Amino acid sequence: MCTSFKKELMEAKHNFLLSGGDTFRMALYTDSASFTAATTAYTSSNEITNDAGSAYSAKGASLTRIDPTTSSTTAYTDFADVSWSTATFSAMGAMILNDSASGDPSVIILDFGALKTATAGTFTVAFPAADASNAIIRIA
Amino acid sequence: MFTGEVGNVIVTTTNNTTLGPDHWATRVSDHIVSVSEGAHPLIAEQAIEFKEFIYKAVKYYMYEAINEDRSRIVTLLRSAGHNDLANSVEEL
Repeated sequence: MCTSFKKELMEAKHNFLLSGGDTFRMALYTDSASFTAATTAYTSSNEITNDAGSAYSAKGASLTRIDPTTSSTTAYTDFADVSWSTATFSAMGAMILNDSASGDPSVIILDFGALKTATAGTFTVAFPAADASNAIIRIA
Repeated sequence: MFTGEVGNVIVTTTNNTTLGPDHWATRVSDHIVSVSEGAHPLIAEQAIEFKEFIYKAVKYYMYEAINEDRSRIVTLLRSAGHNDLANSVEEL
């Protein structure tokens, strides 16, 4: 989780509500990308490109927000799974960024653990169960 | 004290094909039913049974929807005079 995102939460720069919330996107990156908690914003450096076709475009795909909720003392939010069809590209990780906020601030960085490749197929990222132990973004 | 945590995503890819109803039915059942690690064994067993039921029902109706959509495409192709294409889609 980007440290700048934690600060920006306190500055009300991010709205995850389904209705009227900000536009969050998932951008994919090659294995040359190097992000840390100090990453603050979207960059096109080392962002993936299509090996064939046009399934992927800069800043990746828009995410469908799911209203934040709580369970016990943990607050969490979720997104619907995201897919690229007729995809021919590889990615090692992703950044979720806020496309509505000035400067496209980064929210979280995801490491896929290995280079994932789709060839004339589907590239899908499934988000974890939306609960207090697994949800993609949690504040405990 | 607040702690920010990030969950783990699962990436699935295909080569020269699509994910198909099996994958999506699994995702639907995973979203609808999740079983807590600390759940009572009897409740967990019931939840797992229900999840399996959801998976089978969703998968069945996904195939039905696909067949309906293909039928619509075949009808449109035939009415436009593309019988060869219609036959190819029908054989999928």
